[in-house]
Amino acid sequence: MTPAPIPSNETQRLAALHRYRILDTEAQTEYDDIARLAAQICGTPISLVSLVDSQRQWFKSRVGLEVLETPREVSFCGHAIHGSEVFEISNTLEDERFADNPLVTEDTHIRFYAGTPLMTPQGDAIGTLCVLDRVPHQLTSAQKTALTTLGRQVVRLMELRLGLAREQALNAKIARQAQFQKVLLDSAVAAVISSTPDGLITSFNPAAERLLGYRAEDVIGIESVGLFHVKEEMQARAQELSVELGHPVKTREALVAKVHSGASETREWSYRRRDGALVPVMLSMAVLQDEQDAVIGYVALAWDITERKRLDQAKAAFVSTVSHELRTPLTSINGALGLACGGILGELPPPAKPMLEMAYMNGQRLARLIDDLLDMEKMAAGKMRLVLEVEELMPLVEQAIDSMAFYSQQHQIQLVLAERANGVRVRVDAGRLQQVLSNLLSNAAKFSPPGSQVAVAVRALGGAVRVEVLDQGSGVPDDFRERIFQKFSQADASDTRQKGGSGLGLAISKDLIERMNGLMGFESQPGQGSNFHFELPVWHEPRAATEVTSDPLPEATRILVVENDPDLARELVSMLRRAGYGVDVASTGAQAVEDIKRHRYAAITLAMLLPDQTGVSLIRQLRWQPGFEKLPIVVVSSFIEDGKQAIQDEFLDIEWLSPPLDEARLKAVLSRHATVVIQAGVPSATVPHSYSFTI
Amino acid sequence: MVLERILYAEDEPDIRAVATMALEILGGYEVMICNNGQEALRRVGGFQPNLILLDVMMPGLDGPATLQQLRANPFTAKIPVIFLTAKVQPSEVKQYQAMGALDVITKPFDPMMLSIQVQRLWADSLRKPAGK
Repeated sequence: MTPAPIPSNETQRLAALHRYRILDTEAQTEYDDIARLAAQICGTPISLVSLVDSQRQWFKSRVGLEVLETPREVSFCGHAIHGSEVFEISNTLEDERFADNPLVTEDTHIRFYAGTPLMTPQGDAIGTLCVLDRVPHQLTSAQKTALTTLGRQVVRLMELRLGLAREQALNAKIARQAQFQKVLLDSAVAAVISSTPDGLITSFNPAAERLLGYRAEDVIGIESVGLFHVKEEMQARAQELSVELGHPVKTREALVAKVHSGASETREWSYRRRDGALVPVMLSMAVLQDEQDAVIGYVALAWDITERKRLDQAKAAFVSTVSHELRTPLTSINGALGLACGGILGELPPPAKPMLEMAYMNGQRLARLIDDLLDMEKMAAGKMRLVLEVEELMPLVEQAIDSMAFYSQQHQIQLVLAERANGVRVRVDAGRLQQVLSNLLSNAAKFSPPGSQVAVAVRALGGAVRVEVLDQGSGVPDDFRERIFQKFSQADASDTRQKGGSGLGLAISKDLIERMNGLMGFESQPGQGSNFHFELPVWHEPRAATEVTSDPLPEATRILVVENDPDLARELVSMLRRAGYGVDVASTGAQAVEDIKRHRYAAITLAMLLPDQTGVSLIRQLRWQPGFEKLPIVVVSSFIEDGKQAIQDEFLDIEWLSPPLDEARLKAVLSRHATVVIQAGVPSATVPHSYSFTI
Repeated sequence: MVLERILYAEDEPDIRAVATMALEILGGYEVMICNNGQEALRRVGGFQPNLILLDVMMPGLDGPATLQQLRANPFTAKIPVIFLTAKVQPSEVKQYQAMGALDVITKPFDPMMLSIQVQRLWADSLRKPAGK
């Protein structure tokens, strides 16, 4: 006996067989009918649907044979699966491969075998449909064709069952998902409302029913905007968005104008309940899209923030009352101590003087703490309002230094104004700028060794002015650098008691400077003192920008210079013109945005400090607007370090240049984004294909 | 014109004592102390102050209400008024200025600087007319 060799694709063949999950299943009429038909057509007493497993052949269907399976090595089918045609042994006794096969020599007495391989659509033979007889036999070609056809039917039947099983599994999965979704929606605390792209409600969960007082069946198919949104609020928001996005936004689009793929929008809105009452809600809107990114609907998640707003108001009122109640006694305490320490009440006995001075210092410290807490509360609530007015800077700096005189004396620190920038005007909230300066000065005095000097240097640099406070203290420890501008942060917890302070001063100062369109930063070497500084845009009468006329050059060769300082702007313009670019100038952030929307620029150069906003905020604004994500931006500023610190790793594709301007470098940087070819004296430019400006 | 007489209305006796001492000793001003807004209105005619200091939060007639009445009376309408307050909101400062107050001094104030501050604001007021 020669057992059939193992086919070369055995692993794959077995995987194909097992995929049908048919082995050891119950007999099924569909298979039995085919087997019976095969036996009848071929005129044999025995017919089998045999599946060749790794060690055995197992019969899914058997006509005229009792056994369920046989070892694989004695199987005829093991041979039949090697070919694609009918495998026929007319007389097993005459074939040396089978003459001594137990199926031939023992009870079953098989003399004839013909099997057609069961080929999967992928071409793997997983078994046979075979007919057997106990006497020698030969199939006619018609019988062979019929057997082959029936064999294909067996595979088709198996495929059908497999498809059915898959569909059932899928349906079960979908049903589970639907159940999960239903549980989620039914039990969600947030209202979930979905709609068509036109705003017709498609689903409305129980939380939405509770929030709005409508039943789902009453609102499905109805436009949500008319039903429970507040028209005036939508109109106001639409106007706001029209300005922000630079194109008209219709009232009904106000909810979704800023919602696109991957960017949901969360903000406060009011809902009008069925009973007419208004509910403040936090509404998060997301878009549903199909495979082609077409909008197929929106999902709104809303939750009631009535309680939160009430608590916020209560908290604000409480903080305000407490601060008033604290300040009133503090006014008497500090007033009395101030008069005593000021010598108004007569000469103090020597032991009393230092004690009263200590009490007065701590009273002042307490007053500052209360101010800081109140400021922080205002900032957190978004209620910090600055009144920006054009002011001369030096008197403000001098006033701040004067007001710190007593404090610095207490710390035995000499305050000096090392450098001045006379006549420079800035647009600031004078009181708040004083606060920032006082904070920086008191920090410097606090952290400096007694007898040392704290210097203030004011320097005009291009379109900005920089104010530096330099101390000779121990410097900022490395591990504190990251946190220094965070709320409630102190280098070392023990510092609080040693030095006094809320840990809020720098966080507040930085926020205030940014609200005045400036930047704040610091440089420090441990052990070598610190330099805390801020920069503010110098105020120029709005005229300089319009001096530069537009060039009649194609847009792809044009650069927009966003610069507040007229001298630096002129310098940039002439350099860029020499390099072959057309140049426009914008002196404010708002003007820049307007120009960028109107024209297609190959790139822009950008100052860090502008009269109406910082370069950082302009970069963010542009990068988040569709069409400008890739507009090349070259920051030209003396404060690129502060700018980089502010941006961190948010955007990596910004170029940074600091004055004095190096013409060659400017050209080199720009040529990476827009190349200019001078032909016969006519400048022209091409923009690399990777930058597309769809505006 | 020289700043000589200040009418000062404040309901907190301790703060009143400190401020009065600062104004009298350091500034050399003659100070008329009133416990509240009503008293200030009663005494303003007889005292003829050059300047009025009003606490914002007083029982009965508070600072802003007192200011309104002062402005309504042609004999007192031109007297510059400065508010003293422990509630410092920039919006409130603007609001008081819109009502016709010269400025706001915040509590706690520096007693050594109070009379200088008052003198400075007074000098400013001479350059621009009081009221709206």
